[in-house]
Amino acid sequence: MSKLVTDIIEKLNSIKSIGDFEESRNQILEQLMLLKKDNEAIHFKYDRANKDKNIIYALLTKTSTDLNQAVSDLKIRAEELSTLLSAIPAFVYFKNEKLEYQLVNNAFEEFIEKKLTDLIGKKVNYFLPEYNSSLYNNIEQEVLTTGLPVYNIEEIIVKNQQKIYLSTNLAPVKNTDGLVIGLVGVSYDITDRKNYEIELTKAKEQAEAGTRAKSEFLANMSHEIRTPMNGIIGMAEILKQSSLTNEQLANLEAIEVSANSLLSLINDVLDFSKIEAGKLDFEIIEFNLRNMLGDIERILVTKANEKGLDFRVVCDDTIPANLQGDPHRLKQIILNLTSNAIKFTEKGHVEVVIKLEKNLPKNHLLRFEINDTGIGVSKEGRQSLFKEFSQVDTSTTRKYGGTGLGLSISKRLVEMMNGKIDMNSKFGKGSTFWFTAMLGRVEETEKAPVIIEKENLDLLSRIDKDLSVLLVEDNKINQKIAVHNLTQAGYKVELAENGHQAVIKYKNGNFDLILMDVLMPVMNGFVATKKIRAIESYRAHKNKVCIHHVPIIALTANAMKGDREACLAAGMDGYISKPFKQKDLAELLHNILSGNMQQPA
Amino acid sequence: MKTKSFKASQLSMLEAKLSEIINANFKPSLAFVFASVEMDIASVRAAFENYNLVVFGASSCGEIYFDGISEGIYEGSVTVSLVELKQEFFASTLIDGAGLNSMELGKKVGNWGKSLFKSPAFLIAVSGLMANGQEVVEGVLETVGKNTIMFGGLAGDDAHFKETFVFDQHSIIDNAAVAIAFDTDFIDIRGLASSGWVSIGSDKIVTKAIGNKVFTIDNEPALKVYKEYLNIKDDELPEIGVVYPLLVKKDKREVLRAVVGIDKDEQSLVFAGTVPQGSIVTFSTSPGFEVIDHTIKDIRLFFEDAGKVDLMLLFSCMARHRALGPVIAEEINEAMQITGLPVNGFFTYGEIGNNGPSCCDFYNETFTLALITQK
Repeated sequence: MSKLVTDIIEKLNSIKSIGDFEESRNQILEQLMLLKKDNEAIHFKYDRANKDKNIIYALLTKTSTDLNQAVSDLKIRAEELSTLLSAIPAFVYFKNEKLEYQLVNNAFEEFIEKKLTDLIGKKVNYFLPEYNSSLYNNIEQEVLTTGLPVYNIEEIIVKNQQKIYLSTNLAPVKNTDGLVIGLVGVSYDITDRKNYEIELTKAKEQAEAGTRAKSEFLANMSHEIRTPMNGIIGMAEILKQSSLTNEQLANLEAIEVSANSLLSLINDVLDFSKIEAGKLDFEIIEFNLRNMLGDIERILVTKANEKGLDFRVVCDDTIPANLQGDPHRLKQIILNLTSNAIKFTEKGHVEVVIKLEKNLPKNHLLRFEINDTGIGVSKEGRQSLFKEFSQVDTSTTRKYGGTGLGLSISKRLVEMMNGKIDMNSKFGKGSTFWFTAMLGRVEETEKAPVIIEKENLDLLSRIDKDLSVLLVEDNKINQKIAVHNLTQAGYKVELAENGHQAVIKYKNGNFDLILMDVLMPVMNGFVATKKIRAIESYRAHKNKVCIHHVPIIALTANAMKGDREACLAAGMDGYISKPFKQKDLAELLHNILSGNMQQPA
Repeated sequence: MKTKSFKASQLSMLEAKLSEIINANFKPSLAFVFASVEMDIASVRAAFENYNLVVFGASSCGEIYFDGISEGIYEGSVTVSLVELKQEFFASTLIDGAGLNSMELGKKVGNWGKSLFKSPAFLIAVSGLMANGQEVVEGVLETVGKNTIMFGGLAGDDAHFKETFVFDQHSIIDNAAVAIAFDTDFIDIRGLASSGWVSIGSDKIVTKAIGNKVFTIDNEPALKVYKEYLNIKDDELPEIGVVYPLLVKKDKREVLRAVVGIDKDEQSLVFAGTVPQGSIVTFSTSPGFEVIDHTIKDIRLFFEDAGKVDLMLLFSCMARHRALGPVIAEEINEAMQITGLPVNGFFTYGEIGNNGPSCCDFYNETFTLALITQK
């Protein structure tokens, strides 16, 4: 602009005459116009600069206030955070990516008896030199590398000769770009909890030992009770066959009935105690459902007919004959429910209906219904029906007897078969007890016909006539009963008092069958069986001939879990509970000889 | 491609110029007309009726005509560029915006252009104070393609903010888009958009906004925030708002949005374009008059390899004019000096254009120059 003004002044100074003026007038006017424009621009710029100044000043003032506020907010937040940190009873620390302490809380300071200022930039071994930190450092390094938290690292630190249990959670700390810049650790002193846990484990072990002792006691007791019971029942049976007056016979039958129901009560109590102890045998084997139902029908039809009730078992045709599961337990449930139905039904009928509820890839879900026309169960009664030791009311107990354990046992057994149990009833109009059970599919392969050995065929043909049996039994009463039963069946019986005698008699004799008690003085049944089997194979080896394998059947009174396996492992072929009926023995023997054994699962 | 441009401050002058220029030697087929609402837009349009011309017209907020002789920046006048161009190289449309939102209007323009040429380039002007320039651009790009070239602006009304117009040779509409689609096989359209505004103050978040209306910033009423931070009084708004726009950052893009209106009841701010909810904003200002140096640098850089140019049309922001006052002439003059061609255009309520190779966008506070050249 100054150049423009200088130009104008020069031009004005050079005007000497009117002619000069005329000459430079337009130029001067043009320059004055430019000056005016410049002036306007300067004014505009000045105004604008003033406005800008005011506005930017306002903006800066406000921004500075904002910043102060933000800083003060941040201070408050930091104080709050610090208060929060110191209030946490756990040991909290922040380490940088070199695993050096950057920040710790009060609890941490107190624990290691050092101040934060002493800790910054230090590693853990600075204050715990004897602590082997390599494992822990590896985990911390893993958190830094993966950027993922690690929870519940438990370790023991020894401080002042005292064991301290610590549980630590580690979490990565990331910056705004998501890069890991360190980690936060929170450690809890769990010493008290750990000690408590140790005590608890001890107490639990003790309790378990107690339970074990209890169930062993129960098993022993049941054995002890069953032996004389078997004696009573066996003797009664023998007595029945002697000539008796009608009154004597009636009394004897009363003894038999009472003894049998006592035995069944003992069995219930034993089963229940086994369930409680978690020791109930439960096996999964292949079995024929229809055969099992046939057994049930045979057992119960007489009972029902005695009461004048119709009894039938109806099984859906679509259910495959062969299934996998525990046939004995299944039988036990059906028997229990059906016996109840017969017990509580005075007239009409009792029927067992089996339906296929669902076909699954590996299983069949079967539904068993036991319908009766009995007294039924009231709504209130139903609620406690499946509970232990409960019957509908005490008058029922008085009238019908029983432990009240049957349904409870059935319920547990059904649950073990992944099923449900329940009932529908109208009081006084009968009941339907039903349950479902998951039973395994059996691949329907064509079974090769069982080739029965010549000796077995021979034995089979004589099962019901004249077998030569070695009975190994120490108990005099049991001996008497067994000998009586076997002789009645036409068998020839040789007696051994214990295992040792049995081995000698086996060596020198020739038997079709050995019945072996398990618990005996001098030599028990397991040892004796092993010896007999050893002799058998020695003879076979020596004579290079196939020596006939003598079936050995264990006589078991106690059926605790493991006994069955022990019998089979010792080389026995099967087992039968005392007191056995000739019919049961023949059936078992038949199964063993024809290769239809189901028991060795 | 032969062009002739002029400026007229009276209707009679416009009529006289047209009859003088259009003769046996110069038979234009297309006219770009930017007129002040003071001129009576209806009469302006009528002046072209006697000639067989396609008219692309918009009302303005100040007219621009730089030819190196005349003043350059005007009010209450009309500027005209007449172009001799083969009819098959271009087509024009005037689409009424009644019943359409801005996005739909943009799509309609896009579909129209796409139906005419394989790859059309557009000149567009939009009327209506409620028009959202951003959405119009998005509508066109969505239908034609995101690399579409398009220049233009929102029509003005001398800062009355009452009624703006666009028109063609037949009619004038206060809520519409007038567009020329060029066949880019024959016609080359390029340009630049330069602002130079800088952000001041800290980042803030738009916490509630619908379209071009912002209700809250950092959960505070937007009007209150604006007034408090800049220490301005009610009566200074919205005039002062055009000088201190918000710089809106969204998806790595930065655009300036001038305040063009306020609602005292709602305590809201109305912007000359969309301000999406959730976007980060700062206040902004021209860093003194150096902003012109910045734009001049941009212009020089752009023209280094711009090649031949037939016609230059300028869409410059009225807010930029307000902020820079008479000094704005310097940047316009620069473009004229370099090409030796007149610069015809108007001060807009918002600019549309591709800044060099970038995608087309909607701006405030920019100097947006379109170059039209026959290949």
